[in-house]
Amino acid sequence: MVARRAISDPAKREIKRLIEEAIVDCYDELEQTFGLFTKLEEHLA
Amino acid sequence: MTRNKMLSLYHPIRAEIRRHLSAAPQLAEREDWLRLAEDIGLVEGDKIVADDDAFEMLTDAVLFTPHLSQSRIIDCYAARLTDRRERAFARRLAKGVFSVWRILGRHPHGGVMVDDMLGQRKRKHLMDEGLEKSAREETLVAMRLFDAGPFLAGFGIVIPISGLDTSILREICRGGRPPDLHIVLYGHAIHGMSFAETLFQDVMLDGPLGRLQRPGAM
Repeated sequence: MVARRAISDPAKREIKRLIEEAIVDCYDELEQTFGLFTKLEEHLA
Repeated sequence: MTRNKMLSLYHPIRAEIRRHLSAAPQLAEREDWLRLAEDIGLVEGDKIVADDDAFEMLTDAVLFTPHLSQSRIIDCYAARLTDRRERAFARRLAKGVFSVWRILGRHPHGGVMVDDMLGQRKRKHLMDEGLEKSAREETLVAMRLFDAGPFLAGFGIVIPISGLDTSILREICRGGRPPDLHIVLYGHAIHGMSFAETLFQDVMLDGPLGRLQRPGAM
């Protein structure tokens, strides 16, 4: 975990979009969690 | 036990918490404040910029975050106390756990019942008049609690947290609770972002999102 940095509005919007994309169609919070982790893993791969 | 009896136990404990939490930060050096303020995102130029709530979060971070030497200010403070009873109380305070707590409902004698969503503590009595008045059942909050003897007691800022963020944190904490969890959640509260958003920010900002951070994009 790292220090917080100031983040621009366009970056905030993009983060929200990516999160929405990752959790769309997920049934509950646990599914959403794994949807988010999958998205992050794809990014890191 | 009646509510009045419960409050007569709680109020002196509350006063003692406040006394220690105002004395202990005096042991911290300017570098401690600046380092933690930077971690939370409260530094502008070479100055710490924080409103009252943010400053309270920073104070908690200064007291409870291990130094580079692995010691914490709160432990050093407790160890220096000469009165045995005071020292025992401060050591209990130092064992306070920062976690996500689910409010189960009111306790019949005052305060609320809570579950630790990131640990094993279930159906614990938390004496907190503020949460008793304001928190609804199933509310999730992040805060630091310690075993005050007859009940748990809290101090510092109460951070509302979503079910999704709690779910993510539960998964992360399966591998062990990060020692700087409080710093991350304070940062998230101060900057108005969810934990999911801060996680994406941390992982992706050096990638495609980094382009949006260039000067002129703010």
